[in-house]
Amino acid sequence: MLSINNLKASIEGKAILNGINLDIKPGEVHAIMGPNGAGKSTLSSVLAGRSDYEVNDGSALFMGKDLLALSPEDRAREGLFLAFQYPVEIPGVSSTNFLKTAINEKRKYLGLDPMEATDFLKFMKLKMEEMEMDKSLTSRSLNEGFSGGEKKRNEVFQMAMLEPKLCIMDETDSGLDIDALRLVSAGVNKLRTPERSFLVITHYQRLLDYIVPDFVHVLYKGRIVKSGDASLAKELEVKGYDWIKQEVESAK
Amino acid sequence: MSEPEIGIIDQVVSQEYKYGFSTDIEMETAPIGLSEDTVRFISAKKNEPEWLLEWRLKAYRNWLKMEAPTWQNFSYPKVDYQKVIFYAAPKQKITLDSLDQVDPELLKTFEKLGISLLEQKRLTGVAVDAVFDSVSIATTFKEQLKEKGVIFCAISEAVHEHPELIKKYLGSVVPATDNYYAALNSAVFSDGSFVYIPKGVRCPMELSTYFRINAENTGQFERTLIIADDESYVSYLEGCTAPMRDENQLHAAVVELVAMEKAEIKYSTVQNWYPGDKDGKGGIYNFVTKRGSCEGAFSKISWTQVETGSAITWKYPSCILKGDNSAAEFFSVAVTNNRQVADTGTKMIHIGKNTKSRIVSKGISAGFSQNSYRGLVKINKNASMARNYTQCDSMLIGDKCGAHTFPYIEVNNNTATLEHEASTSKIGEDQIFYCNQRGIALEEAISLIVNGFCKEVLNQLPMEFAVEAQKLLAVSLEGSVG
Amino acid sequence: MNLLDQIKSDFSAYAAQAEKDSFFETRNNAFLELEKCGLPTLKNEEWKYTSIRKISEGNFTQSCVSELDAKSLLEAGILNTIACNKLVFVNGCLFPELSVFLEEDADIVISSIANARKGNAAIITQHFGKYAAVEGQGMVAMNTALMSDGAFVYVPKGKKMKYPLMLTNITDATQHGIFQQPRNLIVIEESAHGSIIENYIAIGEHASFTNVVNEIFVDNNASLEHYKVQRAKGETYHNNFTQVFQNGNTNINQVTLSLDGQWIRNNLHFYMNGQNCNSLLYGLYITDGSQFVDNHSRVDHAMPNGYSDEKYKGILRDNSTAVFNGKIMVHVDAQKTNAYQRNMNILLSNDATVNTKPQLEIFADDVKCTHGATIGQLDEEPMFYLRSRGISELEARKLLLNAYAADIAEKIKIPELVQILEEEIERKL
Repeated sequence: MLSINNLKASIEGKAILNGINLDIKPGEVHAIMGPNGAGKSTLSSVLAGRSDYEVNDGSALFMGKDLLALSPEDRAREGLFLAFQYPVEIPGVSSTNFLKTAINEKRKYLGLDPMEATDFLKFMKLKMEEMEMDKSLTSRSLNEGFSGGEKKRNEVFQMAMLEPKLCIMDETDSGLDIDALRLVSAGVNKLRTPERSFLVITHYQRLLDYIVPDFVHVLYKGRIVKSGDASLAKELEVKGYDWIKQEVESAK
Repeated sequence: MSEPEIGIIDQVVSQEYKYGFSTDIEMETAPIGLSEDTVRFISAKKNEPEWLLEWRLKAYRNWLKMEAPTWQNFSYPKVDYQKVIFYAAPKQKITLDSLDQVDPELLKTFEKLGISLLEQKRLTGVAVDAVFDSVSIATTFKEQLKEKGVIFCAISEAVHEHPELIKKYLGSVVPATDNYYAALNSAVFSDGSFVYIPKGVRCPMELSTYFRINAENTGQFERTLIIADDESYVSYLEGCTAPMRDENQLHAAVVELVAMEKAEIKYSTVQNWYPGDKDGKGGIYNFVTKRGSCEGAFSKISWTQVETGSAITWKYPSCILKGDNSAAEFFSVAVTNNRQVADTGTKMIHIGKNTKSRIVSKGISAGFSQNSYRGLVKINKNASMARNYTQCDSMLIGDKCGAHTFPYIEVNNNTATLEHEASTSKIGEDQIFYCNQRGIALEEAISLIVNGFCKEVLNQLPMEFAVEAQKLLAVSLEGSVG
Repeated sequence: MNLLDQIKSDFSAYAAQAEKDSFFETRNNAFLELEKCGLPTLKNEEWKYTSIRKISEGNFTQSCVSELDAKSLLEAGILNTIACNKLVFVNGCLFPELSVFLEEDADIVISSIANARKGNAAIITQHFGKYAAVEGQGMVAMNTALMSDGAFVYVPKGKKMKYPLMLTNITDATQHGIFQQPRNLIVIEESAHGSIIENYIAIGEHASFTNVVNEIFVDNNASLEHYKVQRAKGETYHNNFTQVFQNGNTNINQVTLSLDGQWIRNNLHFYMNGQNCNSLLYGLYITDGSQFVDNHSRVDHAMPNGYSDEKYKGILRDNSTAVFNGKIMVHVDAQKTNAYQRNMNILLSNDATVNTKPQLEIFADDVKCTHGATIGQLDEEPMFYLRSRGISELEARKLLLNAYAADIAEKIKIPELVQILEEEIERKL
């Protein structure tokens, strides 16, 4: 599904990613962990196409297409979804209107007719029940005045509506208390299918108690320095990141 | 300045005005220029009674003594009144009751503008008065309205058929000497709409007037008068377009609203006069005086406007809150682009006790345009317990435009409560990226964000108009797609 | 004789013997400008609510003479508990007996302009008349043409004033009507720090007109504390024009308290000529009787990354009138500007009037600006809270008004001054 090869990226001339290699197959859940400043959020931004970052080398193939050559909206339309660490507020724009626009733009891209208003509302109602969303959330302005938990749940709800192929979750657990974390994770788990893949970026292991990954990678200084299964996350929880840093430094 | 926005500005600059066609039709016009004879000519054409001619002449003589206003922030070339045609009418004799007899060219024009006088498909349930250059062409749904006792006709017709109402109310809210352009209008006004809603009647449909300037070198000076008698209600819509012409054209209308006890008037405008080209050549000077008087206790007047057109707009729809417990609202969206200038706002004059007013103004500037909110809230000494809430938000797109706020607040009563809030912002790059990431491209994202920004105002518009206004905002800012 | 005629005749008397005056050209230009634009009238947008009729008709005399001794002047209200340098002017002229100089760095100059012109001519010439533009400003032009004396403060590069300077102006109108035009010049060089308190008081029964111009220059990385305390009781007319010109990375804290005076007009202008300027403008006016207080301010954000925060609060009683007009001007180049402005008013009487006009003019797109104004009475909610705790309505009102006012007084960074002013506020309330 996604194949990243020797990806290097920088911001304002400062190198952040120094050669990332990663393969994600359909249905797999990969977790990227790492200390602050390792480049975790940069990786998600580069994959989603944020223009502040410059790609200096390497490639990323998404469903066989050159991801890095696509505009951010085309990446989304191809099925890449980023759950933001800090979802922005857009005053006056309701979630309903926003999602209708997003879905129909995607349909247009795929050569499909726009969804009729009634069909859309039916579809949304269904998804809301499925995701146990509060009705009021969708009529309110997008993310405006939402609590941290509401914002993250709304991101997962959008994920359900847009039915992406690959979901990148950027520090979804940050700022969530344990109850909110449980709710958000439950939502994500409902969306796991044999076809849909996830890239879960997090600093802490606790999210991975709920969203159990198939693979765990440790990012440090812009490189994946260690990979393993879910047990690697547990190990990090106990030992912290220092032993990995030491391993990397001594290997030099 | 980030890259996506340069893109937006390019698109914005390349926008085109889609109502810019002109209609080829035989016209009868007044001799060019302005003198007492012009005033007499117009009055004679309308077969007006002596008192009205006198009223016009008095206004004209006053106008001669007045000076054209100058405003802060920008200058505009002086209008040469001797080069303006003050009266232009389609030559064909119009029988107002029979649409069949209207020149097919004219009907086509209104079809093109989306106002089908024959079919009324697009504006179902909306009664339309169409004003072409100086003359009211046709008013629809007259019969249905008559049943309820509602009068909705051309003001030139009302002069003959309801002289007592015209005599009593014409100039009662905007005196002929009120300001330079109001005086000019009073002298040479050509036509416009007249509405009277009798006591206790809720007008069964939206009333609407479409204004169209067609002829070259003409000014349009229409006059609208709406009277809502005790406990009545009316919602009135106004739309305007003009062809693309290289020279500037003057539009100086006067609108007067009178709301009696417990009456409510809702007045909505979607103004889309030709704004000039991207270098600022041509376009309409829109110098309009609009004022409503909340005469009776518990009366209410609500102005809603979406201003996207005109080279220069000066417009301050105002309310005089005379009746105790009366209320007034002003909701405004003004979009300026290229070289447009909009200076708009309101005046809320609180005279009665327990009066309430609310102002919500949204200004969006792009290109090289200047967009100002200018408003006055005045609480008179006896207006105890008056309340006002004002909110002015500006959004800038690009770094060559300006957004300005000039609120005047004058309070002479200590039981008043006033709040004024204003903010200025730009469309955030993070907002655009967020939309992009959900598959929404730049133009659509801007449109979403701008419409969200204006939502409070757009919500005030009747449904048919709100949809039109949203589209208009998108077109004004994004350029025509495809 | 009306004021303008008096000025004209005074100027021709001055011009006749002005050959040696190095200011002559500046003064003459100002005089020509005054002849051209005249004194402001209500037709002038910036003077829409402010009439100077009583001033322009008034019969005032320009005279240094005061028959009062130092002791009685002292008692009139020089704030003695504050450890500071003092320059005292009576009716516009230096009164050396009351001036006090504490130990400061030898390079720092605190003097009258008249005296400083002897030793510091170069610096004065470099800055005098350079910031307070006379174009279209009749009042400034009038001051520039025929100024009385005033203070000169010079803090050279890297130096810091240890003590604030209190600049006291006493109007002695016991004998006849007084007209004075104080002119202060404050120069804070790179990385230097200054602290100035303007203190206005008045004694006597006759009317007086004081027309002040302050020019303040603050160079890169420097900072300034500037406080203005207006307590000139009686029939005093006070026009104060302050132009602050700040270069990059400067911090300015400005607080204006208008308590006494029949008629006060303050013009406070900031021009941010460099990046990262930080300006705070706070004001409090408490008016009663038929007092009239007008605060006009203008902040020019001319360069990027500027920050300004303005808050003016008023309490009005009797038939007093307050005017507020704030203008935030964000120029084309001033991206990333943050500018905030608030004007709040409490009306305690039905005969009081407030006219407020908080303006924004914005020509740059990446800025964050907000402004707001409120006019009303004391909040019912906290009133009720206090009363439900057993506090009488009168006491509760006092408490709340004091708290409302103290919010501004506390922006002053001299604790002794804050304390005195809090007492003064209580007196006024």
